[in-house]
Amino acid sequence: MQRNLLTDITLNDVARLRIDRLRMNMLHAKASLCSQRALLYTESFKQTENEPYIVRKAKAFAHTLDHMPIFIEEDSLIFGNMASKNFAAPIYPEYSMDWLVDEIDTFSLRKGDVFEVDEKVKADLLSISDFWLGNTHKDEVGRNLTDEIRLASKTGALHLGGISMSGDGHIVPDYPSLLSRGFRWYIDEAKRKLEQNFNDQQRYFYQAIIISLEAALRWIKRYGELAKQISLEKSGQRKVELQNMSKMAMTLMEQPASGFMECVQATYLVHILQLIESNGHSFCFGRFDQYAYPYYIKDIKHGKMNESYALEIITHFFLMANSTNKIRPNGHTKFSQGYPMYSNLMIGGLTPQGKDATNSLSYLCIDAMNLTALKEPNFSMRYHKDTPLELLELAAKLIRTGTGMPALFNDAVAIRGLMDLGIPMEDARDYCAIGCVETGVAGKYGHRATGMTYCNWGKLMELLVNNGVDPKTNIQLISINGQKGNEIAYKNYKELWQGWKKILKYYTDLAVESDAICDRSLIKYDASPLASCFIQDAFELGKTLKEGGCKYDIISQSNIGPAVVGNSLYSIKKLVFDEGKLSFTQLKEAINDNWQGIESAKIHKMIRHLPKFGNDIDEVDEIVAHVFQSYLDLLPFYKTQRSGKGPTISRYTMSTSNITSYVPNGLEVGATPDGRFAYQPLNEGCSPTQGTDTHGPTAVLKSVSKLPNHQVAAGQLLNMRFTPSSLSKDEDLSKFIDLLKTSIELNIYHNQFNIVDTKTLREAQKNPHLYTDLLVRVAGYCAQFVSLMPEAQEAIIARSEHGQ
Amino acid sequence: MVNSITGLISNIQRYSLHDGPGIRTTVFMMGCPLRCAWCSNPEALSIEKQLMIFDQKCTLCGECLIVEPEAISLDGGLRVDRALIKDIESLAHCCPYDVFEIIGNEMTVDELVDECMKDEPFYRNSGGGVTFCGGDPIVQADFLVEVTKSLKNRGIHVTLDTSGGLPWDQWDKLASAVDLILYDLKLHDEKRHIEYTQAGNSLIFENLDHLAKLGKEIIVRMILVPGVSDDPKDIELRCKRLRQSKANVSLIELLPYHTLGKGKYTRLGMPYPLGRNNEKDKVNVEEIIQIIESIGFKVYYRSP
Repeated sequence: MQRNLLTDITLNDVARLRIDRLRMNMLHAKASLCSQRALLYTESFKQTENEPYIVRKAKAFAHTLDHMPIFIEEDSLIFGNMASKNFAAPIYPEYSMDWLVDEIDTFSLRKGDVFEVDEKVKADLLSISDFWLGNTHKDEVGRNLTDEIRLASKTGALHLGGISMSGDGHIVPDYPSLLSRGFRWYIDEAKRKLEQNFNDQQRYFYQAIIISLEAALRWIKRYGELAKQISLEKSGQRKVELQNMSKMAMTLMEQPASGFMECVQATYLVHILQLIESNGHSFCFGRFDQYAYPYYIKDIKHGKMNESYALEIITHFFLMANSTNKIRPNGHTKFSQGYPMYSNLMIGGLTPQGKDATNSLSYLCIDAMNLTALKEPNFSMRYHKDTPLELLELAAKLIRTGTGMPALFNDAVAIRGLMDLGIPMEDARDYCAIGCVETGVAGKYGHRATGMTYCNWGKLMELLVNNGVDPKTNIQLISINGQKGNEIAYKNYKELWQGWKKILKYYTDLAVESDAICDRSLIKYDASPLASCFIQDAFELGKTLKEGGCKYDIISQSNIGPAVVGNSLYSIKKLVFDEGKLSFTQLKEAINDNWQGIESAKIHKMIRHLPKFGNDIDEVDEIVAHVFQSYLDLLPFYKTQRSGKGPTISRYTMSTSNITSYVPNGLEVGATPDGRFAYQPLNEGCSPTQGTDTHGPTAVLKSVSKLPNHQVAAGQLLNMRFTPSSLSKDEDLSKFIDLLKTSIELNIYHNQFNIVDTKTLREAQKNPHLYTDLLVRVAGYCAQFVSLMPEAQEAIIARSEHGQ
Repeated sequence: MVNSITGLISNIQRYSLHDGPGIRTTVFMMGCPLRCAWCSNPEALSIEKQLMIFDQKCTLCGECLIVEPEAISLDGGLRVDRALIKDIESLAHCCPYDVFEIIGNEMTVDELVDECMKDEPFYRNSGGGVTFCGGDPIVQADFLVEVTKSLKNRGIHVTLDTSGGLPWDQWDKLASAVDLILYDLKLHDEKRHIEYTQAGNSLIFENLDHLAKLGKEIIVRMILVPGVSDDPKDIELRCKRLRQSKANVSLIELLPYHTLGKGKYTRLGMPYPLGRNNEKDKVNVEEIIQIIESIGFKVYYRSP
């Protein structure tokens, strides 16, 4: 079914039909594995044994670009493939190999994120595994992990995430510079640098840049040849397109981009090149509407292109972004479900000079996203008090279609957060999302705005109750009262709070240590000359990003479950210490009982009826804010691996971007004092715990507004759900926009909205406690779906179906 | 000075979108002079606290037998004889699983005002405010006059959603204090009005004349219950009477009938008064809109 355009731009039938075909191609592409990169990297590595590692990586990258199969998608105006098929995931054996061998027969049997693996690919991968096993990044990390970190991981308190086995990603190239220079400029400059007085390591870096970018230019020309060949078999419009494509590819990035098509094509190709070079994720497009605008407006003014054609180009670009894929080990997949690439693209916001940055491309991007409605790019929008109402309306209309996009970022809070880290105002105003809600400055941030080591705060709460003993494994890495074993008697709330701080510091120290172990290994294994040279000031300093080449080195971990912790502390404070309704021992017994017995159920009732975060009740919201602050207070004392080695700012900050980790993290944690049942999910980001916010969206926003949001400078994740019918009328949509405007005033960092379908409503009926934040329009008002009687729920489900 | 008058409230709904302009907090007050057969808030009809029973949550643990041995039996499932319950509050308190829920929360003027003020930023950005509905808020008019005064002092827009079914002198001060009135006109035919709401409508139409004198902005609401209140002829008469009153009517809102409140009757141990489920019967909305417009009113149909 075709989607209606949201703007008044028109696309002719030919354009619409081929967008639909291309879209269906991407939508139905089956995830698979591709062995090409792995084979070519192995082949090259075998021939470069004694050379510097970064040069070996560059040569393997070049060898791959020269020999990998390339194709041009039928119908597409944009070319560039990272693997032999759409949605096939390449393999990066230099990062990790063991899990591939172990899991190769089970990729196709997974419950989610299934990958097809054909026998040839299987054989290919097994044939090279011996060469790599023991010589990968993961092996190096494994050799350096301490017993404490291993045990902490075993309890589920820490999760080493992608950085222990993958590249880093989480980066936005300096697109404005690279588009205005072309690759050739970097090659020429690198050659000049080689004539200057640099040390060996720096010389290797410049050599690697030359090797990588020369190969990239040859690779683009391969598409030029291919387009020419295909054009011979075509006729009409497609023939002309392919001829133009060929002509463009033969010189693309040999010089600055010359028009909008070259700009978009080069942007996409840099993305693909980064994905071939390293297997990180969250390689992002940054503020596309800003850096592409000069190219766009020039072509429009000179009559080379109209708005409709620009929309078509952007739409094809967005569709092609869905051809990429990444495979992760099963254990890691649970933390990031749904084949995510997190290739964020951002529109709107302020200019570095503080003016509204909205332009016609901002609007076109919304409509392109509306036409594609696929998961990539991960589409975000910045907004502030002077954002044009038209743009907010268009964004709200896109949100209403149920794409969940754009995610909305509040400039005032994000900019203030970055400036507090020491980033100058003009750069802070030029921030963008990197991945999900992580924010940073495009082209100036090194890898990893967030998502270093994951720390499971739900588990820390369980440890707090048990004197540091993990009930599941009996591992005790730290004792709160100095004694072995899980016996602990807190005399008052102050003691409990001190216990929390002790546990939190111990595990955060461990997490920072594990960050460092991974980071040190990545200096070698994730030395990425292509990604590095497009980030300031790596090129000037002659250092890769991991060596300290970036201007701003601001990283953060991922902490999961602050609302669970805050609500738990509040429950204990209120029932045990303030009101004396039960003893700590009674509470602990009920927790150990998972609230099952009758006495435990009575205690559960008391807790259920206590205020919870997300309902705009100060006394509990304040405790959640304290929990945030307890972590923020630790951060100034931690250093990154690159501190003093190049970046003008090197430090830790905080983020609540925690992808789907709140689900597997919950599975590690027994019942908690907030009334949560054992193994249930933790709360997501800074959102209230599922099932505990009962006062509607304004109350959620008010609660979140009391957190130290701007200090969570790598992004504060808030997810809210509405039903389609609560936004379907324009009058409701305008009130939704008023809600967004109020969010600005309330210091909300970020909002994203799920507009849910019947399937979810059915799920909500089955598991109501997980869906209390689900809003539906009842008669004259919106209500929580699960608070309605079953009959009313049925009636609403029936009504939603009518709208389809 | 602490204001010690209290009101009895069945629910407070934040982010209400359809009870007046902008984003609103709707306060559901208990007590109503009418008994409309289609009422979707039966828990708010009485001025007494109500007991709702969620028998699906019952685990047959037996805790309630200790406090209410006469009223409750667990043989073959939970059975409650409401007439024999001694104290609904202690019953609700004893159940670990919240099978018994009390509807009706006593709040002081200050408590209610504080709660309403929580969404002030949303009201300000959307042109919204607070709406009293119910039940019928005019039953607790004295309490609400105080609440309204306090809200008005804080610059909050206040809307009163009422049936108008009590003598004018019981709620004239409230009507004067609020900014906007949502006024229900259910039926013109008094016999049918009595049949379906257990009250006559002459008072309701008389009160319209009072409101007209006050000059207060009114949005008239008509609920279209198929076969009951959707007769175009009756609607025409209602509109003509409305015209005659010279009330300051800015809009007539047509509301579709729904049965979303039906389950609450079961939980309250009350029969659902509208016997036949006529929810899906066709209402000739087009014709009704035409009639209303021809009499000179602006009309809006709030489609489901």
